[in-house]
Amino acid sequence: MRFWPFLGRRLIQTVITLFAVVTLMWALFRLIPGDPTTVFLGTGELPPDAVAALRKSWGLDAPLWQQYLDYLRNLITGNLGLSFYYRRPVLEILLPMLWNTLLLMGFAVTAATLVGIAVGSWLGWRRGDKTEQIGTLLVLIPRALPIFWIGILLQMAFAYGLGWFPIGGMRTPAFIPETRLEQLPGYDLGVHMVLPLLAAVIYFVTDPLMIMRTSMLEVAGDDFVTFARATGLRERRVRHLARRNAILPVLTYTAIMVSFAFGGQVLLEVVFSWPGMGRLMVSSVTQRDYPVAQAAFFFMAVVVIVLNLVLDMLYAVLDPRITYE
Amino acid sequence: MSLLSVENLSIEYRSRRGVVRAVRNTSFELGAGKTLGVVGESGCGKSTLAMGVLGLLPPTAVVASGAVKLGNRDLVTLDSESLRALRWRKMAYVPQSAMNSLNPVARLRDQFAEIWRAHGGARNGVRHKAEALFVRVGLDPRRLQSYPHELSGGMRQRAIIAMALMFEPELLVADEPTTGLDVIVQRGVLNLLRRLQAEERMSVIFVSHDIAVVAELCEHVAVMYAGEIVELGPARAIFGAPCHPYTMGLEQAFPDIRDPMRTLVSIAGTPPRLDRRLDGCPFTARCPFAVERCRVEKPAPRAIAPGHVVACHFAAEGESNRKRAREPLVWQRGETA
Amino acid sequence: MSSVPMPLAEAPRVDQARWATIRLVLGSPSGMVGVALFVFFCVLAVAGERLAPYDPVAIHYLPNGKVAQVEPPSRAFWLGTTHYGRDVLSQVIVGSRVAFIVGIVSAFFIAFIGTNVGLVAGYYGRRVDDMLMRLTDIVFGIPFLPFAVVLVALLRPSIWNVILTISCLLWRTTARVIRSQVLSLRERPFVRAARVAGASDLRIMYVHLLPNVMPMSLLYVAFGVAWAVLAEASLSFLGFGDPRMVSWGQMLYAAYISGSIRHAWWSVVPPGLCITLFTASVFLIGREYERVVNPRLDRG
Repeated sequence: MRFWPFLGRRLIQTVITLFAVVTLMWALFRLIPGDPTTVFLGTGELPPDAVAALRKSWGLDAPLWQQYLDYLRNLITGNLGLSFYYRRPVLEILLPMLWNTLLLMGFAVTAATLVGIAVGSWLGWRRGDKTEQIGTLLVLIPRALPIFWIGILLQMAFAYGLGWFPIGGMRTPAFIPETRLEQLPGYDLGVHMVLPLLAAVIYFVTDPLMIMRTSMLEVAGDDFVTFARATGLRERRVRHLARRNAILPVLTYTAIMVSFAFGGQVLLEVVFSWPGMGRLMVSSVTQRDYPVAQAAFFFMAVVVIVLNLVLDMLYAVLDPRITYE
Repeated sequence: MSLLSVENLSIEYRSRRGVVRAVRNTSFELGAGKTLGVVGESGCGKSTLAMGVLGLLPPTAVVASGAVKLGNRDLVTLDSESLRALRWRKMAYVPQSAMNSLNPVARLRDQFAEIWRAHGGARNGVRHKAEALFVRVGLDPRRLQSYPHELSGGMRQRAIIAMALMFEPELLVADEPTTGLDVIVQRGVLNLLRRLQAEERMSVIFVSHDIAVVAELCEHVAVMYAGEIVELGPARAIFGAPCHPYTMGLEQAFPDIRDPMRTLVSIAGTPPRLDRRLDGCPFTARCPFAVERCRVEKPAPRAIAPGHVVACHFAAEGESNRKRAREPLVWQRGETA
Repeated sequence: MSSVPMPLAEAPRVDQARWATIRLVLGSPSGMVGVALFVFFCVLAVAGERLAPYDPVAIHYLPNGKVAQVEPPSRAFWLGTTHYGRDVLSQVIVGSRVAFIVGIVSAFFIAFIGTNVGLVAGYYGRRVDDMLMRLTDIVFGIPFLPFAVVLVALLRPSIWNVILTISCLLWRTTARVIRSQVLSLRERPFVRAARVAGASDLRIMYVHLLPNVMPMSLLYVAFGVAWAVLAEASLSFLGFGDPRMVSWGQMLYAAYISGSIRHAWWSVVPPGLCITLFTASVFLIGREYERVVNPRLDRG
């Protein structure tokens, strides 16, 4: 099987990319004009020997290459340092937030992709009739909306205005379910997720939709669709076969979408006060709590890069025409 | 009664830019177990005619008038579910480029199974059948595990022919099945087709621009020009003693092994545009024998012998015209439409 | 039918299509809407303070001496006032300037860097291509907004740092697209002919290949404007915008943290709407342009 060497090669590539990103981040924090102490601790109001002592305690007086190696060693052993602000290990603070973020983002990306594929393939199959043309134009609108504005508008309308959904947060503190509906497991979480999820889906659905539509249009004109119809397959089955072939470009795009999804996630977590990594990152940057900021960013990059790898593998499995090289 | 009867069939392509009449008022009959070759240059409408018979026209094309009768059912007016049920069981299709006609992401055995199930076949029956079919067309049955791209062009073509035989259809429509294959592979596929034709009692419509291939395989030939059938008859008559000037020109354009030093003819000019009205005979501009009458009065197809129909005002003067047609210079008066 | 034979070594004609393209883009209704909107914002950006009824940062007072906080739209203030007593309409008008500057300058850099990387990678191939694409992959691996947040926070928040950040990352898509175009153009006869004639690599890249990929580059300039404006708005919304300039994103930031979104829709809707319309106009123009330059399956 030529699959395993391919996997091996991609793994190595992934590790190199991760390595490069980690180094880039580290270099960024070190080489930006100004010392990390002045940038993150305030503007030189400390007496010089206090500054020197602090720098020594964080190993900031060691030569650069030494600092770099220490950093790497710490990373691998899972030591992400101590938060300046919270005085606790960064990992401890970050991990619960990570799950919250992945939860919301996971649902958002999945929902957006599925809806995009469904609507996109429906539009593409219709090949240029009026419905399709209007639909295509309508789809362009959400792409231009800033995601945080969508969130705010939803908040204004449905939370502040109609009161149907909570304004923000992930759970209701001390929630006591009363009605049958409220007693369903996950109800509280679900209710809190509706608005941010809706905002995310509205924003992220457009790209997979358009890609699927274009892909479907191309495939619909392919010879094998005509032939499939000639063999007497039901129209629904023919459309399914077309969709199965058209879906491949959307998968490639999903990796890129996740990268953008993190950006959207940061904004939505701020708007809806969702206790996730995005919001933590913004607040830690504002507070100059650089170990937390760096770690949060690192996690996001890791997720994106690993997901790239997973999707590459998935694509290779789904499209047998790919030669492993 | 003949198996297939096409009556005054006209097919148009409709788009924002206008209407293109690709097939005009064509009629022919095909008996059970007989082969009909349809020849003509690119753009003459032969593929459109084939697709029209099968009901596989693209969304931009419509049957403007006429009927396609399979047995006593008119396929043009048939509802889609009944048409679907007929597909593959009664009429099969071998397309122009099998390269692109097979589903790229499914193994061949699964594609067989798909068709089998679509027509109500039981799950288990298909494996043996597919293997047997592969053997019949000269393919190793183990190849059923493969994906289409793992097979060569010629092998893919054979695979599609195998698929087409699945339900032993009454009618097989092959649209340029050997185009794009190299000569040796082409020979293999043609031999296969000839063998199968003898074994099955299948009617075949064979569309091609290569009249040598058609001459070898088909009992009857229809010659198309600018969307119309200009001559239709037994292959022997069409190639031995053609009566329509266009057929004569075609014949002169192909090398003949009996006369290797003969100068080949190229009919000057181009076919007329199909988006405009065509009064009179479509071949007028390039015909060496055309007179004013040809320009204004469209010749009606007339039988000059049993089973031999010609659409030309001078069909009766076939013999003398044929003599004149042998001189290459006579074909140079053609104009570009 | 015989087609007119084209001299093999002749590069496809690019220049004469320019005016025809502009006319075609304007021809369609969506293209016209896009251009109209874009010109509208252009006017706002240029006229700026002259068009605005008030100074955008001036604080207004009610007759009774209190700050005119969160006043609903009235004849005096067509779009009402913000939490800090400033006129929303004036801010919205002046905000278009930031959008324009950030949008156009960033887009230019995105297209410039991306096109050059794509050209060099696609043309030289192998080692150079590998290296450049590896770099592009890394840049693709970095989630944009989080990185931008870190970068802008480390540098001082200013409009130029925002532009720098955006340009640093978003060239990646352009690079990939241009590279694949160059890869397919590289084997065309006119490039081969130029090489045989002894043209230098630089000459082939910039005199022969560049004009042919230019339409694609321009398309990504259009997208780049949209991405940049959205990026700036996002950064400003998070509080990392340039505090000295009025931008639509900043307006939304102020509205959000002051809590005026609870009831003051007039401080939330106009700036967001402007971002949307401006971005949409650029997308529409880009889409029409793409349809003209890259005719796909003709539908219907």
